[in-house]
Amino acid sequence: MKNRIRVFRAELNISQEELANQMGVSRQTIHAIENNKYAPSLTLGMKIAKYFNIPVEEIFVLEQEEK
Amino acid sequence: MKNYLFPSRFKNISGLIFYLTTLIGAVVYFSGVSMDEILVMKVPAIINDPIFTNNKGIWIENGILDELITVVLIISGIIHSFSREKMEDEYISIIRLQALTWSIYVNYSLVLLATLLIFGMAYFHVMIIHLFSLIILFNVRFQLKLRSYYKSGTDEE
Repeated sequence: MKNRIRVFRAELNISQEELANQMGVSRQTIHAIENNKYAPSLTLGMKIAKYFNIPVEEIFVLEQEEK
Repeated sequence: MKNYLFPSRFKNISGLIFYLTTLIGAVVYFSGVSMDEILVMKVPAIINDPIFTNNKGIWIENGILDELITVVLIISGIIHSFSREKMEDEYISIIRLQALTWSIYVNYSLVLLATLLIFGMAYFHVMIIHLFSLIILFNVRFQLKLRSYYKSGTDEE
């Protein structure tokens, strides 16, 4: 699963640390998600989407083999 | 969701006790010192196999150093492994689960190898080590993975 968190974060001009604090996770976890090393839980994914005020499917995109 | 973890304030102290006890236990065990002759006192025994002791009855004379090391090592190892991180989140839970899976595979692979290749009293020693190997393997693996997790992305905003 790919995601566009880095893009939306850049648009809001917030750091990984700030986003992590808002989500109640560590900065390393945001880093791992952005680099596709870790696919977040549904709860965290929806919290991130809510924070950016964007539908979750616009942030998280299934890759071809996952569809 | 309930995660059955201990508070993070126990992590450092339990880690210190765990690694210290592991070191002391290994030194005492491999030095060949008879642990049953250290800290001898009367202890209750529900089952007492006469192969290992000359005592009979419910109260027996026993050196408690090995029991002491076993209890402290297991309790401190469990608390150290399953204490919350200061910022415990879902990714750390995944790292913990992966470390546990890895350590079970490695531990039981070693036991299988030992079962097929080691015999006699040497196998008894393998079983003694096996009492602690899972918690030690898990702890070392989890702490190494945590270390690389905390180092990750240090140069990125």
